[in-house]
Amino acid sequence: EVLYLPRPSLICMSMATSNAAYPLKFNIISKCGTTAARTAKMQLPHATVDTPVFMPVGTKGSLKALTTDELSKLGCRIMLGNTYHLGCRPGPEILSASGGLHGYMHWPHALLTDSGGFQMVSLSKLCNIDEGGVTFTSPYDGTELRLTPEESIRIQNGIGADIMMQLDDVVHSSTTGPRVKEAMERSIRWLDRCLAANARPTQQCLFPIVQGGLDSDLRIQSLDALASRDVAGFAIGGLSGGEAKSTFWRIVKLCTERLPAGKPRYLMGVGLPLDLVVCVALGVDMFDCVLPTRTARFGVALVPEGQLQLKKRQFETDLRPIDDRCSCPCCTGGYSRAYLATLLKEDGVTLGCSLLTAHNVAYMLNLMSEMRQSLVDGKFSEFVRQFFRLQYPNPTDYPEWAVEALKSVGVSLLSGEDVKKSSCNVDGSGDVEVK
Amino acid sequence: IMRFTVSASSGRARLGHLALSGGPDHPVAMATPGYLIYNRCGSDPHLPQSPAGILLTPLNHWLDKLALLRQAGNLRQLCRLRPDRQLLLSLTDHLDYYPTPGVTAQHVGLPTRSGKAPLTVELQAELTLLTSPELVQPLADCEIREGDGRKRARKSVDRSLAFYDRFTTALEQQGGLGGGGPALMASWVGGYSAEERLRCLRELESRGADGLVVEGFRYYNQPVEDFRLAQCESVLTEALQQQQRSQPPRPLYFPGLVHPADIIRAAELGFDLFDGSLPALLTRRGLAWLTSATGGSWWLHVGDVELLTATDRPLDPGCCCRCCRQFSLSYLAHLSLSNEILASILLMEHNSARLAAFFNELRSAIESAESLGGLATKYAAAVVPPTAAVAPLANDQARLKDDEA
Repeated sequence: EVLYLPRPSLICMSMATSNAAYPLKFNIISKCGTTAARTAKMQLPHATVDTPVFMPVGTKGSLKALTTDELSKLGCRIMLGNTYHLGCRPGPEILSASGGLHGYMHWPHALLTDSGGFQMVSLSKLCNIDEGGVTFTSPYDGTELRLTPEESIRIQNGIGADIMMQLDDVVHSSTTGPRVKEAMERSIRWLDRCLAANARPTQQCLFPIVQGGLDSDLRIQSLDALASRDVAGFAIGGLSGGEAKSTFWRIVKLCTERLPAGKPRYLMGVGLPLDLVVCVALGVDMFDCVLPTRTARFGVALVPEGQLQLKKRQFETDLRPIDDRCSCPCCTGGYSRAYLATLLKEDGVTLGCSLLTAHNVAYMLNLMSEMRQSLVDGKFSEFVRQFFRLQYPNPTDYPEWAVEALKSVGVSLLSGEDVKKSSCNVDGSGDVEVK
Repeated sequence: IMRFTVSASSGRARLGHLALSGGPDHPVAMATPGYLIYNRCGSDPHLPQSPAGILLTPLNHWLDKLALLRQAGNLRQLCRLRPDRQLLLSLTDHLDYYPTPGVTAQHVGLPTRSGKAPLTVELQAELTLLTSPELVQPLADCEIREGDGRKRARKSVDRSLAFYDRFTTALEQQGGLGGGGPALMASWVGGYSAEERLRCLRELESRGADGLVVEGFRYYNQPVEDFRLAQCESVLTEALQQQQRSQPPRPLYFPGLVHPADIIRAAELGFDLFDGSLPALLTRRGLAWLTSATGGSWWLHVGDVELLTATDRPLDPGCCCRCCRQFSLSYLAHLSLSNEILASILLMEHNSARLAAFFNELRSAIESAESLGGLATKYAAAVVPPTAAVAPLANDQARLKDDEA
């Protein structure tokens, strides 16, 4: 008896009540009275997602060592797939024939795909960018490939994610000079080509990506141009490349202040728990990062106080769970730090990796959940202060940039009271003192 | 604590029932011929929870983790083993480590990741109490090298009997024997000498060993898939005839047999228990065991680019495991080619289900009094290829590098 059903039909909610040109509805439930944080419900074809949301990254169509059932049980309702890798293998035709990536990997909830641009630039040795697109050599087999806005959307249409990213002209955040402006302007033109190329506009929406490097004028130009397009949401790009944190937060704030309030803001590639808390305060709704899954494979557990490097000697006989406040299957299952370390060090055993990945993803999802709840309860500022107290027992260790950023939206970490919001410019001028 | 009954036989092959009642409220009954569940450090190599049954727990994995074991005081709790897991505390993992030379009158050297570690009678008694297994294999001299003669065989029998006696004494002294203690699975050694094998058998029977574990046939540097039953079958013939007559029947365990045809042949000879390491062995090679041979082969190498187009069918249409119910062969191939950990997890689910189906088939054949020869012919071509022949699924180090991208 053949039990396998080809192209399993997964429930896909039709956006019947949406009268917009795209399948996304964003309803803000609660706004913080002090900061720019807000919590919302984002309706997508495959799931309703509560924001602010952290999206784990399942690069090649699977989250490391976790099955989709396990991920779903942790409460995840949206995750990332990587267009670059999936476009190379298995490719859009095979994905289309399998009911999209949803059917292929048996993921019933929402998916988001990036454009492939970032890996293209960072992974290939040779990469030539012109107005038409990008020519690069595939690290898979060395052949020359061309990625254009149209081709990126074609692949993303084949993958079938609820949210797609435009192909943008990617420059590293450390780049300066005319190249930054050129890339920002070209990205706008490529956005329009991407929008035109979307063959499934009622099933998949497209986010533009705000660029402009670390230059506020260029960012403003990009913001104004993008905000004038009728799109479902916005991504903020070019900000996870190791730039100075003091500039990082100013650019994020600049973007969130100028982007339409009624649409989601997605900060790409960010980040650490600390980054998430600060950026939620600045008005960001969506995040993605490989941190929880990548650190799990190095044996690092995320906890409210920071990180535990489980492979170190100090944990060899530590029989406590990673975090007795955590409700993930690893911690509630009673797996001790020492036993996890044993499993992680044993080559050919995947259970340690599975458990730790589950814990780390649960940690990130729970962090977001707590933030959302605090926004509903009107206690976001207090949540932020408590978060910092746990991560940094000594207030003098609070990162300067985070203190400044939060002060700029009315939260004083050090005095324990909310303060008057202040304006600040990227170059440091304004009310917030720059040391 | 252990009851083994034989319900039917077909020739020398026998259907049995192994009941263990060590765990509180969780008696486990296992039909034989059956298999012990392969694991490392209390975990199935790729699955979150192995199926219920008897967990093969080799001590060599734990000898470099003694501080942790002693701190935890209880291996089951440490490994979060479900109550329906019973344990057989054995000596060496037969899949990955070969018995390495290093036996003296006082200790047996077992291989660990950090080198050879000595196991003494006292240490094994202590670990037995920390583990509270339902079955334990007392330490023994299981070493064998090609060319070893009768003299070496005799020594291994003498030493093993001495270890057995001292171990049972130590266990009694520490209060670990008697009504609540583990059943003793004695190592049946004696090299390639039929006389020594017979002598060992008689000596163990007179000591009332609860079961027997065949050891000392695979040469210390012989890869697991190279070891075939034909290499040693003739040595055991006479001893097995004697064994069959003994009452009450005792379970016979033959570890280290991975080829299905060898398992069938060993069942024909009267063996009851096998180590279930074949799924792990196949999975790490990226091989799936199919329900029926396709194109002359029982194994499918899933990391094959050609398989990416198989979007309309599962890995194995005849299989009901989760891998075959939920995913296409294309997805499995994609995961395997991408060095994804999920590939190992899904493949292991499938191969574990396949092994269970194989043993069902074996028991059905015995029950219906069919000659096992037909079954052996069917699986004759199911020969596990040597490592070099198949590109394995990437190990952890390679995966970590891969993901820097």
